[in-house]
Amino acid sequence: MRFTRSGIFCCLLLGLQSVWSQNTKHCGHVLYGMVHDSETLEALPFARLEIEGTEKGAFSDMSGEYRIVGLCDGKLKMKVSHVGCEDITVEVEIRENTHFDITLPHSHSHADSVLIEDTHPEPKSMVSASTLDRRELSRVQGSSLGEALMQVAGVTALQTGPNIFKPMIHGLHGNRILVLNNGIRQEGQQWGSEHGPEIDPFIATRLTVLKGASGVRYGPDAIGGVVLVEPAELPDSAGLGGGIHLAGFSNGRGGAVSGHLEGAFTKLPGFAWRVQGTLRRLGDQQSPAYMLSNTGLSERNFSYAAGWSKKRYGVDFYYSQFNSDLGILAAAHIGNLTDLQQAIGRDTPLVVEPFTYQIGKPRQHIVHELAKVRAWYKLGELWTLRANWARQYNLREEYDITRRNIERPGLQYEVTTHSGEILLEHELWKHLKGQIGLAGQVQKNTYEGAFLIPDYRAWGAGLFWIERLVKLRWEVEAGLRFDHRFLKVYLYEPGGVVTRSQAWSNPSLTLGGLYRLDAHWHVHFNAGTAWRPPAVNELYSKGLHHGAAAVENGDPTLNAEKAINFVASLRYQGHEEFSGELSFHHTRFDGFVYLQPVFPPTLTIRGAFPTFQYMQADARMSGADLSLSWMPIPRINWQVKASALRALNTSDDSFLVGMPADRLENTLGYTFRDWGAIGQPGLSVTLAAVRRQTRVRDEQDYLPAPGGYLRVDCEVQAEIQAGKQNLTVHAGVHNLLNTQYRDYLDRFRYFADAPGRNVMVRITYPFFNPCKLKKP
Amino acid sequence: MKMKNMISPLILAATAFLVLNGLSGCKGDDCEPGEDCHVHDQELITRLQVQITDSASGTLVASPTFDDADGAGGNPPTIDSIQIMSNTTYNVALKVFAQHGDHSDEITSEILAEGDEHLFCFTASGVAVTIVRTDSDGVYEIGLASRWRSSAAGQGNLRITLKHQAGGIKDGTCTPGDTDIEVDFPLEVL
Repeated sequence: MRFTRSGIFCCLLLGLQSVWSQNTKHCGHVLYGMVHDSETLEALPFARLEIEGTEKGAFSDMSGEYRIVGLCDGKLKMKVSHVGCEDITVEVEIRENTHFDITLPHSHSHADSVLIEDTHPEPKSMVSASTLDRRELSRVQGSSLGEALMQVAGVTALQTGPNIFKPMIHGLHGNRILVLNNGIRQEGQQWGSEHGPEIDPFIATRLTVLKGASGVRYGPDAIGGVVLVEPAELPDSAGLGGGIHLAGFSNGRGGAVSGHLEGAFTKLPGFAWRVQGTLRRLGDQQSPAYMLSNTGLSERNFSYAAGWSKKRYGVDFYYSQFNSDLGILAAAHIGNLTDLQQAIGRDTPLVVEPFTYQIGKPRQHIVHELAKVRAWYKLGELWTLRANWARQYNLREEYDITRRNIERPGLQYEVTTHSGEILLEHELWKHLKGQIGLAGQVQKNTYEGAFLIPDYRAWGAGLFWIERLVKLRWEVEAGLRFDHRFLKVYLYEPGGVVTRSQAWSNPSLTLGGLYRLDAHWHVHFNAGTAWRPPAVNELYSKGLHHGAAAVENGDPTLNAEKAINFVASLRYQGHEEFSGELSFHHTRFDGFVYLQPVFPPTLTIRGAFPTFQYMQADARMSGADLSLSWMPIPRINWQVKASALRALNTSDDSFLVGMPADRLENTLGYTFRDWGAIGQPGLSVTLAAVRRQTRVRDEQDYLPAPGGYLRVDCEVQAEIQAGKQNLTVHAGVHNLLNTQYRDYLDRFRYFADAPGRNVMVRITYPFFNPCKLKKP
Repeated sequence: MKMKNMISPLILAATAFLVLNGLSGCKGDDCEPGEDCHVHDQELITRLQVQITDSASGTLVASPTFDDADGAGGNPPTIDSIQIMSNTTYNVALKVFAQHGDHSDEITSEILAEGDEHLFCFTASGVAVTIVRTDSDGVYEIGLASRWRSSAAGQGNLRITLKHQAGGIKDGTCTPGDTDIEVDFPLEVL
């Protein structure tokens, strides 16, 4: 057999569709559900279910329930037959354990009865989870990770100008939520509110937000929730595929280009690879009335992965690098309190210059590197052993306007983290499914330039066990974890280096469940605890935080922050016409760490600075999220997203500052008929309403909370048939009416308005390069 | 033959990986926590000295100082009060010092050299003292040298501000730029 000239990589191509949609096969999934009669809606016992092309199958039992085990990822066809009913064949997509309800049409009475099906993957967690899939991500591509996550009800972002979005779940951010990049805890530098997650969102084909305490599975810090950044699995069938993603923005006059290429060889079954890269560039952005000077951005990211996977074992390697340079709004630079008073609350910022792509000072230079090895081995039908190890390196350099123009960062931090996890999983055994895991982590940090946090080394270890009882109508999950954390800091005192050590241990518990009232209505409940050791800045920061024009003093005697969190949600899933979720959450904190203003202000040679001390208090947060999607008449879709939150420091009955205001988002969409090669053209208008944050006293902040606002966004979208592929095009306008507003969660609201109208175009094009086999 | 077919893509893949690894490398921190390989120098201004010379006799009468050797926070700064005689003219020179590690260096000449980016401002309150800057960067005044003229006796306050006005924003007024120094001295005219 010989290959053509283009053919070193060549291979028998099975068509892109298979490369595109099929992933590394995971087997051992369970398909289960109920069979009903479409007319009487009564349960149908003894219905025969057969998976086409296999010998797998089952009969429904007396209560209409069925269960088929040992299925692999992918789409399958299932034939369902019953005496007195017409045979039907349904298509089911298996990803994880899948619940699938079937309603059989009764042949005698209503030959044209509608077949109602319902399928949903097994829930990842019992807390409220929301997923942005490939389709939803293509609508926000080119934006930062924190910005993309704001699509989820209950998720906001703590913003620092137009480029830095720190994801916030139910008002909690930073050290109170966890970001899992490719299964690895992202270890960046969480001690500053102007530190966004150092992740290229283009690596992900799925973003999942777990909204609730998830400390048992993911360890310390997962108090408010977890963000899972999940890339697609490596391809499992031979071929070469890829995709190009483009995004262009009028505001900032820039955009993003991202592409990936992946493949597997016929001659080397089991081996697969992928390379991926992204470039992002933006110049100064603009508010409706003026330029937001020095808000440019330049980002260069890439990743590559390779894996070897067999029936019983698999190993893969992943490497990614994130490089970002971003400008900090020039008008936000302040030398002292007098400068701050001059800079804040102005109609027009102090510094407004013509548009430029140049990124001046102050600016941030950030590098994040992740290298990961992951392996799994099947110990039998039931048990699988998984292990991973990762190294992360994070560099943060902050260049400030200095007295002397030295080309050296005023502040530089380097954090290196090694982490590993060993996981023993068992598939369903007598309705039980679970995992036992051991996780460990070693971290070091060094700084150069101005002191804000000291050098440190940290060690952590955790042991956990989670079991889930899976019944047809209900599932119950319980878990237990024990963590130990050790921290050693190195302080440069006048007499030399002084070290101090601290250790914390804490158990975490979780208990949750879900009940399926019928094919559509589900109720979830979860109670979980989570904790975190105080962060190094909360313990040891001492001195002037220039960005905040405040002196922040840590307290080395702080205790661990502990929380117990309750989540209850009601979900309606099913028809295209209607789906929705209403969830309530309540969290109680023991030792919530916060910054308390203290008097007198600290006198320095730059004048007096307001002074804050890290303190602990008991706190309570409650809220609700609502998301609805309704198609009242065909082609018209109405979507609602709403969230409300109340947060209180219960030790002194004051409000917790920096919490998101109530918000409501309405989207009205219309889908046109297919038009030639253009499929599903659609038009939608979104009205985002954010109330003024009234639950904060004016003296808790430099400026009173800004007023509420209404913002209109609109979008057109279409899928265009281009060759064998579908090109997805989104064109939209963010802030259509060029509304002037300031958001309470934007730290730069003191200095300038939010960006104005932004015309955006986003194109996604999956492609493949056919390589033909030459006949000998 | 079959073996060979299998091995060539494997070698290719391995080579591609090594190349990619070589390109990206593994970045790392060349410092260990607690090791003295850091640049911790912040070039913080920590001391401002006001050298007051009687213009008639040419003798140095006092050098009141604002000193905060450990920077923001920590120990509070020490602030001398400025005492001058009524109806007298003085020539005043400002001296600026920065903390470099555990010793302080005078940086007055650096400020003078970057005179087009710096401006000292004087605001007396509670007591009348007329202050005129007597040096120049060629276009605008700097304020390292100034002439003070007191009138009636009284007690008040003198605020001395150093504005850093880099990037061509210096316009002779105290408005633009960042504040490097903002110190309030008690002022007594005897």
